[in-house]
Amino acid sequence: MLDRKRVVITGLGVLTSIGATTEEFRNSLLSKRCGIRPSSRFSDVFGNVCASEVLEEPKYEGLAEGLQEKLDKAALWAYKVGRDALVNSGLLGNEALSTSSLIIGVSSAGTEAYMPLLENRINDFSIDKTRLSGSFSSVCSVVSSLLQIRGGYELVATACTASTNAIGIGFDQIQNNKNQMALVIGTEPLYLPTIAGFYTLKTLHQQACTPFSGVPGMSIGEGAGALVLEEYQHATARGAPIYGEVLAYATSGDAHHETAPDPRAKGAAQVMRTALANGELCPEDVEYINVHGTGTETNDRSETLAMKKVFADIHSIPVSSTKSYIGHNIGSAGIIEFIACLLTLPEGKILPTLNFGRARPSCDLNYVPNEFQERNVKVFMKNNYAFGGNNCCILAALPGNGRPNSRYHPRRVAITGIGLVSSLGFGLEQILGAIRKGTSGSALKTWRPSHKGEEGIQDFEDWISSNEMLLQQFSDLRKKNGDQLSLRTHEVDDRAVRRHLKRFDTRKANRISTFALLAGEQAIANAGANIRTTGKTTALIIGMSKGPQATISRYVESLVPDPRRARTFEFPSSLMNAIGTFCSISKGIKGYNTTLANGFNAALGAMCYGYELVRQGVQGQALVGGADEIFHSALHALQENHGGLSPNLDEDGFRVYDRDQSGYFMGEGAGMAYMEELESAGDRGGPILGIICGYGKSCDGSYIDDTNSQPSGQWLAKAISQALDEAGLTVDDIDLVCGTGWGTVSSNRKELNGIERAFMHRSHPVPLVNYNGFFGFVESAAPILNLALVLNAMKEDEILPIPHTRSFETKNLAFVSRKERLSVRHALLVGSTEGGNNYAVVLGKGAPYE
Amino acid sequence: MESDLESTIEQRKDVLRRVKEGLIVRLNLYQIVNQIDDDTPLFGSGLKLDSVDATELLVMLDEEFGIQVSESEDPFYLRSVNSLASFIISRQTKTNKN
Amino acid sequence: MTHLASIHRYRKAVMSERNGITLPASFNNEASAHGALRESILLADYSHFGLLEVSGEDRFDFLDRVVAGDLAYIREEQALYSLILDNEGYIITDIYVLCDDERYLLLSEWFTGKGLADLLGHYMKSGESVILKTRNRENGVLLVEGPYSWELMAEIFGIDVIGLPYMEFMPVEGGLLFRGGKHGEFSYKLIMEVAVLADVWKQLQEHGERYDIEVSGLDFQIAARLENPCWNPMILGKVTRCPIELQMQWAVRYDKDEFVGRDALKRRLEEGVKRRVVGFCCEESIVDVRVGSRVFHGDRIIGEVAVVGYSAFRQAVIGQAIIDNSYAYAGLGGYTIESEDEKVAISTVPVPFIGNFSFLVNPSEHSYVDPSRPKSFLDQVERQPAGEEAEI
Repeated sequence: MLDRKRVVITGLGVLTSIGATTEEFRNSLLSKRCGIRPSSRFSDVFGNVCASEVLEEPKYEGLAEGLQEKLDKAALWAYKVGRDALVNSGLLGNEALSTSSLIIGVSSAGTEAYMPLLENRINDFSIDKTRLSGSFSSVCSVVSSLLQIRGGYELVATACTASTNAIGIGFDQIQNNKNQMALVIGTEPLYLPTIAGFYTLKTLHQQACTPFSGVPGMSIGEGAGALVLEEYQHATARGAPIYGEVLAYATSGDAHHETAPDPRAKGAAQVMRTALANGELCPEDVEYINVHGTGTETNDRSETLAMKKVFADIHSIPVSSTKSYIGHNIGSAGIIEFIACLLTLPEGKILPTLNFGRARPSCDLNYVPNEFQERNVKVFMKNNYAFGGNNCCILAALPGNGRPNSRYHPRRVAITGIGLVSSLGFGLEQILGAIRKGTSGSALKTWRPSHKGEEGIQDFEDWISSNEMLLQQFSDLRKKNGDQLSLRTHEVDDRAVRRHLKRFDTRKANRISTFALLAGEQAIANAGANIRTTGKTTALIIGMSKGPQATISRYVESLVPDPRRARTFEFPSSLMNAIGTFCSISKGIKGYNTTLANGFNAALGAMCYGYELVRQGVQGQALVGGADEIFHSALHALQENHGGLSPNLDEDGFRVYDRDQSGYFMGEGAGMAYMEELESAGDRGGPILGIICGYGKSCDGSYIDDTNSQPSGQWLAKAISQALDEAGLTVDDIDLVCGTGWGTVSSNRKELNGIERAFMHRSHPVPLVNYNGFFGFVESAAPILNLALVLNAMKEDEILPIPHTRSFETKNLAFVSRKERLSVRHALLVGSTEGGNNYAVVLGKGAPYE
Repeated sequence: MESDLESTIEQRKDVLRRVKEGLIVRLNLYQIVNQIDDDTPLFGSGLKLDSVDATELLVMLDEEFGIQVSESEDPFYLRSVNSLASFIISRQTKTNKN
Repeated sequence: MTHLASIHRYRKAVMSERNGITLPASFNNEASAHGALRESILLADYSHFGLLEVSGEDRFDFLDRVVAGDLAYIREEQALYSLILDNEGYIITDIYVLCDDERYLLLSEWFTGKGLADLLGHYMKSGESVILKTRNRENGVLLVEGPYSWELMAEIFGIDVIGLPYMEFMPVEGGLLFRGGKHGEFSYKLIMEVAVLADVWKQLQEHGERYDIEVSGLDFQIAARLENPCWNPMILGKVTRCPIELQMQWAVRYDKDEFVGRDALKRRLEEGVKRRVVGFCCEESIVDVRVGSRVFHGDRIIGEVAVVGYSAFRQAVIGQAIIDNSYAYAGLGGYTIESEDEKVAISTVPVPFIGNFSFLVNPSEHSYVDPSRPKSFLDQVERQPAGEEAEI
């Protein structure tokens, strides 16, 4: 048995309409100030719409001259509250941050840089901004770099539970003894697409929302919050301030509907029960619940029902909604509401639900209407629920009321199923067949700048020529390919995908979701698992890079010219968590459900999280992976051009680690792995494809100033050492390394330098592969596609070569350039995101299943 | 066919077609127009729409037909393609009279 | 003879036979039964429903090939309403398919379990791993239907009934509780072990008293289905069995690779049908219109009456006629139907004919028995947007 570490909260930072410091925020809460008023930014679009807005630009201390203009508000706010929390905790600039993790929750990110195009303010468009703040995960890259946090980051993108779930993951990083500290941030500036979606869904309240009473409706809000989480002894040893202790958390998936909560509130009840069980607490221990409490009819009703189901004595427990002060802050809602509890409960006071009128039918609890209730709370619960049925619950104690360490029996984790969707086919067998035959899955495609087809090309030309910077940006691409923008891509026949799927709602499915679903179904079938009996204890963790691009584009286009006519059909499915929740709904997977949108190689983050959940026995099984779709649009072209597409359009033009050539082909598809406890997999006779022996994470922290420097790979090397340590292995035990870099000069150098550095003391050069050349770079799912071929190599004692590459970079590494017979007992899968996050996972040989 | 009836039928056919096309595009239906019968229920087992789709229908009424629906409207106009068409036609007639 | 049958006998039910099963046709309370269906709760013995369990490895592929609807749409605890067509694309029967862990459960009111098995067995390919097992011996079915049926169900089977979505089912002691009906009201089918059937019936009656529950025989369907038409081989099905003419294409999934009758149906759709079933409403309330009466536009015969009767809800004579395609639209006046004396003026209307009261009742907010809650949206000042709870 192992002790879980105790996790205390030692720093706070906050930014809301009613306070830009914790002090101000506390005072506003205690004086019952409501920050919801007629919107100053959106009223001319939507008429009299209300919102809780941060109208005064906060001060960004310590930010280099000129940087503010290049960053979006999501990153700036995250930086601001993150820095405040570190200052508050006495940790700013502390050496220990180099081994701390950073977890950020956000729902809508990477939006601001592109808003000028949408709002027809073409001259406000800044290429620099799209570079630094133009991708979904850039907020993590920016903050880790500015605050020098190098223990690895995760971007949690589960919509309205994002920051709550982020607290949970931060907690995990410490309780499992992996890190001493974690900075957890929620950030959510309000942009047009979000408010337009809620407006057309007709969920906005005319005035300030009145949760559980009066006229139903929610108020939208914006803001940010941050927590420093720290290992208990580490915190006390340095005399850190302690604001509370995180006792446990859980997430779950409703598997019900893409926007509506399950009217039976099964998932919402389950998440509370799981969190209580994780913390070894019983319902009687909970003395206060800070609810999700959006104010909408369906939320308030099913949330009330859920609490009734879990707490026999619910009428004696005060429950209240902080959204009546600051509205619904979406991705940052949970963490801000959690901070509100930490700031007010020590006063012996329970925050009332403001604006409380006549309770609605079926809302009959003690919602602490309008007036503070006196109570000394020792343990409280914080709940949030999101679109798609993402649920999250946190249990926390006020200072002095912590609990002894809980313990767990660490499980060994096996990979028992793999599902793959790629341009080379579906599933390992088809793909291997195609590779053996030398089939290429790529094809030359003419760039369709938008869904409008031919006329779109003209729009594209106009668009580019209208902006000097854009013209420059695209000049390379256009010169290379002539006037016609053509590219080589690896695409998937989605009609074939649909033919393979048995159970899903075709009407609600977009391409990327069907890819993920098919890969998931394959992985489950491959494992011989029965999801029907295990659905409640099966986690579904999805890594995302660009997410549902076509849907996002369609939604965004519907905002023009009149945002009041936004397409409600695409609004929920344009969110990052839509793919994971679609799979959960289609398959009835109701366990932990999280989307980690870390960008390139995001599936590695999903793998590590899923592994932890199974290793600690929190979940019986985990389905992890990623999915990507190629979407031909001007914006995409712009983004890809940052990344560096290969200028060589020949079939073999994507050559990873090639000395003479940089760049990749875009790929699409999905990869999913099914993990479960080794023993129980053995008991049921499941195929043991491989074993996960340990993992490591780190972050370069050089995103902001890294544009020209030679990446040393030192932090990737650190992640590798951490993984080896955890696995109890040395560099000599590793028989094969698989990289997942995407073949640009900077990606090659960083990955190769990192591996070389980590294996410096190995007796002879370590064999190295990277199979992205087969599939094109399938941004989030690449690690699983590579994993499948590595596990197969371990099984067959035969290693496939790196495809296409002709002259490898000069390194002290044994690039596998032709098929090799080699027995591999341990392999190492490594990868980085484009923002500088690094992962290393040690794999052990599985037992061939007869 | 007398011209009165003919024009009433033409009007209805036109509205039905526009409603069906709108539904197909906006709600991602797999059907083509003639696979959707006039009396097809919108919710339940029919087109299997849900409450979120209902909000998209309101946007469609506004955009395609210039009709704003108040919350107090009797919900039965959303029963089927045909009832929706009847609702649209009655609103259009009302507007013309005003 | 089941125990339930003796209860019926004791209540002096007029018995009749459906699918070879004897069960109550009437308790001589048609008017009040209809009122209960539309305003409170109606209870009926639905043991004529055929029940067939389909299991085995290939159950999905097999059923998906036989049933015209999209089986891929449902997962565990969900149900699908669809049709089984013949090779020519005409309706043999409608069917509920309930998806359970390791099996599908098929329900049809027009076939016995045995009859369904015979029908399906016909389509089984050799080597296909499918097991068909009739469940009629072990199970009976009770119908609980009406705007407040959910409340009685919740009282007996727990709070989860409140949130049970349309076309989903849940396990209850002694069987399954399935939500899904044909008459536009909240509707639940209890698929129960025969041994407990009579007890459940008594329990429903007892608890149902304060909801003004009415026990009814199957004859209540005549009025119910006049107002909320549905597939009925004995009435409309005698005039046409074509899903296009019946405007029932929604129960068919054209983009499936294969299902029995698909190609014939598609061909017919491309060629275009010549007539369609359309709802009508007579402008006078007492008229002598019968099935088979001709429908006119001026002097031109454009169709004939397929169903007709008096609707208590609309207080009018309503019905459905099969009408030449170019005339077959709702919202038209100017047609007439021949009758004994003179031609009766009608207008064509959308189907269903009535705005069911269940649409104005929300299980989370309203109550039939709790005076502290409003009875329906009509009682509430603030009206809610509807749509979500809609049923066909």
